Amino acid sequence: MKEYLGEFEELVLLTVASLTTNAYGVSIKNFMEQRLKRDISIGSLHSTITRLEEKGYLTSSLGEPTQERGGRRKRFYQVTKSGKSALQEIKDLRDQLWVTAKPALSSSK
Amino acid sequence: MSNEIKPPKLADRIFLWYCKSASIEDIHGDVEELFYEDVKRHNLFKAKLNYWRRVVSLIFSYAIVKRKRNAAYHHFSYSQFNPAMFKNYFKTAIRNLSKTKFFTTINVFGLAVGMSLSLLFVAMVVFVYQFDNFHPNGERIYRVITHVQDRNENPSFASAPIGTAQLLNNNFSGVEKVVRIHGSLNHHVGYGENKIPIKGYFADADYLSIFNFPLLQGNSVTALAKPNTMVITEAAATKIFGSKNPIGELAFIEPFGEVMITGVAKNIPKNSHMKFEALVSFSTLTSHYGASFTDDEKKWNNFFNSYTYLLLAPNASPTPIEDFLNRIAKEKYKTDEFRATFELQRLDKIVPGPELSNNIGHGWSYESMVLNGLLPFIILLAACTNYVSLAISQALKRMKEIGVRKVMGGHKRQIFMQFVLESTIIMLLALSLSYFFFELIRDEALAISGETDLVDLDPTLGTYAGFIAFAVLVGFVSGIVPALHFAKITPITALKGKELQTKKGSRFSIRRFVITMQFILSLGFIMAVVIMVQQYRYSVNYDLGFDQENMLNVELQKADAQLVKNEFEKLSFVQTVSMSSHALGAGEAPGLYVRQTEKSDSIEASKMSVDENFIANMGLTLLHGRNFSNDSTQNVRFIIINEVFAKKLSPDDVYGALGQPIILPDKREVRVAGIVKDFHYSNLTSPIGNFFFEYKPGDFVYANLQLESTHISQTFSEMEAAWKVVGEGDKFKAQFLTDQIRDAYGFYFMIVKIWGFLGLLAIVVACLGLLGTVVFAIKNRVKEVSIRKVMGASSESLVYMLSKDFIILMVIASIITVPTVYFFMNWLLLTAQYYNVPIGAVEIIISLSIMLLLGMTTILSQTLKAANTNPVDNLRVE
Repeated sequence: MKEYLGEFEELVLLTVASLTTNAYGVSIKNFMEQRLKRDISIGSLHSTITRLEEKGYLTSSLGEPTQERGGRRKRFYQVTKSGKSALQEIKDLRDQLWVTAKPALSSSK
Repeated sequence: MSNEIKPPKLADRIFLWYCKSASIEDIHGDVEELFYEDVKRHNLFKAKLNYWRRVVSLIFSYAIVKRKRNAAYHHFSYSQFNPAMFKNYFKTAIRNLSKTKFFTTINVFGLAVGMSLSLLFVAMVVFVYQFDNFHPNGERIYRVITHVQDRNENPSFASAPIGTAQLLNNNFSGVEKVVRIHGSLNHHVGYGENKIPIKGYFADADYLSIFNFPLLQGNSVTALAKPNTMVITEAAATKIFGSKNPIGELAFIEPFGEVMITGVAKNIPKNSHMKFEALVSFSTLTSHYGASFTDDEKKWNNFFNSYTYLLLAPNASPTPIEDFLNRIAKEKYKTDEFRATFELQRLDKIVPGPELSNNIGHGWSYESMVLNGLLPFIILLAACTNYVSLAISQALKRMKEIGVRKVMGGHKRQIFMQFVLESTIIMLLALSLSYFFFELIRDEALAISGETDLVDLDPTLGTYAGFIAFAVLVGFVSGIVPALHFAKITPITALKGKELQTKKGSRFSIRRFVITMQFILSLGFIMAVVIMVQQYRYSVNYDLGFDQENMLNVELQKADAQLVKNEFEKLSFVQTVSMSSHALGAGEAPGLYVRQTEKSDSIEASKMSVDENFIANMGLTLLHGRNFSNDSTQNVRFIIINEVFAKKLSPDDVYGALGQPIILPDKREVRVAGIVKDFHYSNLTSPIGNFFFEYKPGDFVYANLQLESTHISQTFSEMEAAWKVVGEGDKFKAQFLTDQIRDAYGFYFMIVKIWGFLGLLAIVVACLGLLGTVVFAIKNRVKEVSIRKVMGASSESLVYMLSKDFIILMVIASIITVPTVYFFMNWLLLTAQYYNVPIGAVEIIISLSIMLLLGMTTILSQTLKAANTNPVDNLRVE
């Protein structure tokens, strides 16, 4: 059965994809906050990441120890193949909807 | 800012604590990174605040929940009930124990010895906690107890005024039944010619319906309803009536007259605090003494014999009843000298319960149980310290194992668990061995404590459960020290095997301390026993001032004194016969108070009733005055006193006491006829005091036969034949005076037995501990010894080198113990026995040599072996 992809989940997934090799907790948070212009709580971000991992849309690996984080390692995330196809699917769905909705949207203008 | 900029510590701690073993390194790093960003962008305070906020949001987030859940199943991480690891610990423990068979044996044996006494105690505790658990309404049965405030001692009593029962009986809501109990029952029941001692009390008819003491015969509702009715137990029935059916029989009880048996109860189990042989109806009291017996206001102040038991209605609370009683108490007790409050005590809180005066039967209070547990605890402690010190000393061998476990991801708690499990296994092994010891000493212990009738230590399921729980508990507690010790080790030092060298000094001193303490304990007990034996021998051989050799005391029983005398005087080997009321020198002479004149102060004195032949027969010396004469009517008016008494009567001139009048407690006035030389009429525990002989044939208990012959067996049959003529069917009972005197010092024997046993346990435990430590120390120095030997050291010097350390410990133990025990025993003897033999060097030398002999044997057996082995055997390996 296909997993349902929520709106916030979709955004996180897209952010991870756009950060390529530098997607870890803080960078994801900062990236999204800049664009969304709102605060994201670190708790809900990590919860969402965990859910995405469970669904199999993200994988993660630990990086090297870093100085500025008290020597703690970062966990880097990557979008998996099924993550990519889930993103693709939701984009296709939107595109189709845009196509069908376009006349109405433009006429109301 | 002078401080280093860091995230708030407390938030950090809470976060890490909450996450436990879950891996949150990355998230933790994230929050810290964000914190430093915040510091740059805002101020420190804001950053800290944000940090807190983030931590809180994380704690409640799904991310942490999930990671924690994962951690619980992670195969490198700790889980409390991991059967696989548990199995592994078990296997390691068993392998390790069987690999070090010698130490295991020492441990198991030592612990078993140390545990044996504790098992007795556990069995007793289990027994005590099953008191009165057979009453189906138990949780609704209460008794009223009284707390008295009289400005001095504030005693608490198990008894309560009868009035409490009377008031509650008037349908106080919540009280279903009230039972009055009165303990003033005469201790003898007459039936036909016989008087039979019986224990029991008065009780209301409801007694049998509240408590579960089922009747075998008779109706439990009506059995105690009428005056002069009585319920007896099966055993009492056989005692009084033999095989006759007791129902409807009449027995005689002073002063109530004839009492009819209306019921026979099943024998009362030992685990009841209200054991009885007979119950007499409470109405017997009221019908004999009238209504004033219960209603008299004085009874509120004098309630030493009356008890009140209540059966509450289901779901009723005792508090309103207590309040009601205490309101009454305020009305009744108005003086400051005597105030009292009442409390309802539930049946299951009675035994074991707080210490109360006036208990209705025999029970155990918490205090007495703690006292009973003290000695077993000391011995067990000694055995456990052995285990701990041996376990730690083997640390080196286990180091690699622990190191590997830790490197593989073993947690502190896992290592801890492992060693605790190991000690529990040892303890369970020791338990099974200890159980045999327990069976061996059980009956003897009961006999010594004289509580055979009161305690039932036959093991039940509960006892076994108690034993196992006890062993597991002891295993856990004694495992804690070595387990913590091992769990603390860091993997690097463990794998390098450095542990022993770095911490050698401090650990060694713990072991030394343990050994020294154990030897102090053993030596203390040995010394005490030796001193007690010496006291006993001294007391028995003491010159009491009269002849005790070949003096046979024949119990007169129902026989007539004159007839007995005539009959025994016919026997050729009986030299003289006299009569007396007590055995001389066995501590039996009763004390009483006499006066010189009606108005003078009373004088404390002891007395015996004797006939005119007694003084000569016993070899006492009449210093002055005259003996009793043949004229018994005259004799009654005179007494013969000892020197101490004479000095008391006329301090200046001893002989002035002659002819002085003395008023005896029964108001008879007698005169001093003679003075005898002082002798030990009582035993040696008290000094010679005022003493007098009176002539009162009714009191005679013994015929004192001075025997000639030494062929005792032959003379006995002749005496038995003589006794048959006068004995009225009773059995011939006779004892030599020397034996009676010996028996009077039986308490020394009891102490010697108990302390001797404790000493034995202590010395066994101490020697085993020493043995283990010596063996271990030698094992560690095998190479050193071998090299020294190769280099030319003699066996003697090696033995000396190896033994030196331990001998020093024993010397230290002796130096501490000898004066301590000396002073303690001196004090004890001074208070316990007036005529005692001072503790001499002999006792100290004997006890020291016993301890040194055992200790040295232990040490030398090992050091000699080590010193005499061929050094090649130990060096060739490398």
